[in-house]
Amino acid sequence: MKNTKLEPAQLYTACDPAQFKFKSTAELPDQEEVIGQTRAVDAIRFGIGIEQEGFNLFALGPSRSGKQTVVTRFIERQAAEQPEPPDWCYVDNFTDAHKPKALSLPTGMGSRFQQSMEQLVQELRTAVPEALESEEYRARLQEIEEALNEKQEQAFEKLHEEANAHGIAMLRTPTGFAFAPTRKGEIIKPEEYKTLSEDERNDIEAAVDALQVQLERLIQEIPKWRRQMQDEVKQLNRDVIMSAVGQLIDEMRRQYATLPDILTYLDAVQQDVIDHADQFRQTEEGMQLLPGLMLPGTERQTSFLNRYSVNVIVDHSESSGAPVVYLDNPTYPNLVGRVEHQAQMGALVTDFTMVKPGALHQANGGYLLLDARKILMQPYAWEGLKRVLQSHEIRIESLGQMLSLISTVSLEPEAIPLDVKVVLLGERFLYYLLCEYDPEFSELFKVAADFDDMVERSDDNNQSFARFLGTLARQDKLRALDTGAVARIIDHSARMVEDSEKLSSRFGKIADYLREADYWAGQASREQITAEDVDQAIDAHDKRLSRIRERLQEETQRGTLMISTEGEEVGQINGLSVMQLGDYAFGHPSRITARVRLGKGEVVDIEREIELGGPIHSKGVLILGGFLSGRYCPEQPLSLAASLVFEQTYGGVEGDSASSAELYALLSALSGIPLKQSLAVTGSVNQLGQVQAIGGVNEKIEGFFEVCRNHGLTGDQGVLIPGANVKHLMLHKDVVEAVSQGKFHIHAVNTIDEGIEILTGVPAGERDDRGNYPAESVNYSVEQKLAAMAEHAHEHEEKADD
Amino acid sequence: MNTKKRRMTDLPGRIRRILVALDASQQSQAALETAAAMAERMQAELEAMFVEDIDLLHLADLPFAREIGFTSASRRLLDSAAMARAFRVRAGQARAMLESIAAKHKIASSFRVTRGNVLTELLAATETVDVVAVGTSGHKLGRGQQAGSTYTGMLESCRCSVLVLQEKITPGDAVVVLFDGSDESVRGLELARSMAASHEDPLSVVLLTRDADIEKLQQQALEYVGATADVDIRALPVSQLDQLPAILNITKCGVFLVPRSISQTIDLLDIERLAHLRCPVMLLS
Repeated sequence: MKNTKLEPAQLYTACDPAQFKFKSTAELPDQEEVIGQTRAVDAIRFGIGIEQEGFNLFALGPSRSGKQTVVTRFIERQAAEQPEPPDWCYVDNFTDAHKPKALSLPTGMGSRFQQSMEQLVQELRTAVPEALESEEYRARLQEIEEALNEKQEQAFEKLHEEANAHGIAMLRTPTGFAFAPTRKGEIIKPEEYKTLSEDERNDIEAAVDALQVQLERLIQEIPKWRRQMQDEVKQLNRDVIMSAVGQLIDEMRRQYATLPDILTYLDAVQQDVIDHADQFRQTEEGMQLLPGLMLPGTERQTSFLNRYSVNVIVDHSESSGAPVVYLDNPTYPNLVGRVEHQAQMGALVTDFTMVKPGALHQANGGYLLLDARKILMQPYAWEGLKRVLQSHEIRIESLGQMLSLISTVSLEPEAIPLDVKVVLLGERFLYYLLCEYDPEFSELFKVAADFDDMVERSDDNNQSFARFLGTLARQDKLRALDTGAVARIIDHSARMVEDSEKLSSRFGKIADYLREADYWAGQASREQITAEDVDQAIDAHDKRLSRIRERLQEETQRGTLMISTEGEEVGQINGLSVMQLGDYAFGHPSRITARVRLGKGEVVDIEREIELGGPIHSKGVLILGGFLSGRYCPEQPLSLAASLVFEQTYGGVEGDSASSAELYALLSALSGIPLKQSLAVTGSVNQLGQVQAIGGVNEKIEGFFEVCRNHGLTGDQGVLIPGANVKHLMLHKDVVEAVSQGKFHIHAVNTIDEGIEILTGVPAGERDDRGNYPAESVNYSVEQKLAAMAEHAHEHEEKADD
Repeated sequence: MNTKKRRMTDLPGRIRRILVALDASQQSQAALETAAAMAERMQAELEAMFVEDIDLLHLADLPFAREIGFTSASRRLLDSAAMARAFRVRAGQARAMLESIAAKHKIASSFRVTRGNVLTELLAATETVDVVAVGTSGHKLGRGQQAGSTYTGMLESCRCSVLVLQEKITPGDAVVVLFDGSDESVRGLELARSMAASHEDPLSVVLLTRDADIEKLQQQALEYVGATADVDIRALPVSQLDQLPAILNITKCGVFLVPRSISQTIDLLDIERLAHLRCPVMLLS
């Protein structure tokens, strides 16, 4: 029988503290670079370097693996060498107030422009009223008004004279004018009129009629004259205000001569001031908002002058390099900006000064980092982000408007061109889900920076790890670590990834252990963190989460859960499974039993039958049928009915790591050879009888070990594991100690035959040249049994036919 | 100068009653406002009068009578019933206007309606008042039979003082009086002093000099106002009458008192000349 027992050294690969040339991590420099992660780092470097459309990044990997730290560091380095982007402002659109205009200014000039406009407004506040109160303006205004008056008066005078010439007087009635005949300067009375001859009356009426027509025409001309006068007044206003405003605005034009958009805006401001000159006049008279509620004159003017203010939404005056923005709460408005409103007299009012920027505005010209899960969970945030990336512009639009939930008029600020590199940070499954179900995702996020769960466990990486721990301790103001603590954390890092040749890249989790170890060092009044503190941190962490594990162990100890750790049984074996509860996993044995009888070649998985077995588990069971039919009685049909069950298991079962155990139980049931109950088995099996690697090997071994320890270690107990899992072993020191003392054993097996020999103590047997198994072998017994079943089945069929 | 506010009843030359003709138009409302302010200053009663123009009633009875609207230029048939009704409506509006403005200025007021020739009725009413307020603008008809003609007729025939009111001016608070040493100007000076003292308003005396010695005229003026009085005195040669508007502007004139004799002499009765003064002008009789 082949020696399959593992040596204690194979059960735990320890980091030797002697390799470290320091006494304390306080001596070490900061770890600047990320440990390992070459693939991800190359992808990031490429992703932030390429300037083509659609090459945004998705950094995928386990949580707390330092993705954000790594990405941010690379990006900040790159951004520092890039120029600062321009500032952006919103200003009033005088021709269409609900579409504010966006203005771009060179870096740092946004706030300066804002101040310039404020100053301009202050100066206009005095200059315009002064111009409109000046003697020259008043005199010219009066001249214009007088000209109209004269024109009207002359026209009426002429009409009056004509009326007089015909003996007609023009009278004023309460609502108009009328013509009346006169005699010797007096209006003719009706009785006198009746005494006139018909010719005289006709002449009078004709004259009156003609005069009425002329008066109608005259009155109809008056509005036209008034409009002409108003035009002249407007022109006067324009001329007068131009002289006051023009100089002030010309000065600003010189300051911003190289910015055509600003010059265009200043032209519009100038025209608007001219058009609204009256608003600049100080007036004590307010405006009535509601009966009894007045808006004082000064407030009204201030409210009007707001139209010339500048809303600086992006100000890079104090920035250095391109912006790097991480948005912690990526809601739709936080991303693309929003328009705020103010309640006034029961209505919601807004203007361009209430446009607020989003993270995309702040990151424009640089980089934006987002958590993928968070943005996907925010309503419309993901769609909004994709839209801006596709359109290359940021358009601020409220969700209410987009969804037609509200139809009140709101602002439509001019869109701002967007040039940004977006980096999403998220778990792998999110990335693959998006690839699968969102066709736009792959077009917009072409660079995947895949952060590995683990890195190579090498001497170089050990040194880097030590520096990393030292850096972390300094950043969090923790105690420094001694070499023992560093080594212990490195060992545990390997345990975290279940691989003695690897180290975990979940640096966030490692940092937590470090912080806990610092606590325990403090409790022990130590100045440095030691291996003992790290052990305590790990044990305390597990203890906090091990309630279920301890309950199971307790019930197993009490016999509620039936697990045998000594003796032999036919068709019964200890299988091993892992339970994952949140962040904590532990192993526990389960009794697996097999029963066989004559049948039609079915291997029934009872878990599958009652839908407690997952598909992978069912696959493992079905493979057993393939193994049996491939190995035994190849010329005869498989005529057994076998059933397998995980006893006392009432929750779901998934995975095929117990398929080898099930096969051993089946072989035992077929051969009638009992299996040692002092051993537990884990390992997946294929149709060729090869034992394949499984996950959670450390937890499974420790789970059975604890049961055996509680029952009392006999020196016969142990666990069979796949040979391919040996490199994954990082067992608890208690197990290693027990193995060292010969009280517990770990067997690494590669085939079913190796395993059955250990479990039964009987050789498995190999076919000789004639194809027969040796008589005292397990395979022989199994094959004999199956052949007999086939024979019985055949007889049964013949009888049935008869 | 006694700076205490004095009751106008104690002061010589007191104005007790001011008459204003109303037709409920915007112009007459503006005139009423100014007249009410004057009445308040002078602690006088304000009497408003609405004249139902008999000529219009006669016109309305004529078969061809038509009315052309002020702004619509539409032609409407006139009849005496409609005209009488229109008068009643306007009279009601004028009464309401008076009551409102009088209450605002806290002055006593009365209102009456008469029917007849406008000028005749007004002149008759002036028999019982001290001042009659007239406007110069009418309805921008220019010189003619109605608007502006009332003003001219009042100036020619009225025996009481005439307060000439203009549109679209904002008077100051100073009382300004034109003084040439004549008896009439002395009475005007006394009235001006009384009016200024009643409200502690600034008093300004404009010495109209022809060939007279300025110092002598000034001395004379001071005798009447009191040598210690805080009064602004300015000289204005007749040859430089065009400076009068500027003087009134600088002194922030609230009312300009001009003895009728002086106004005739220097042709201040001309409407256009008055319009340049940009303040209410009281022609004293």
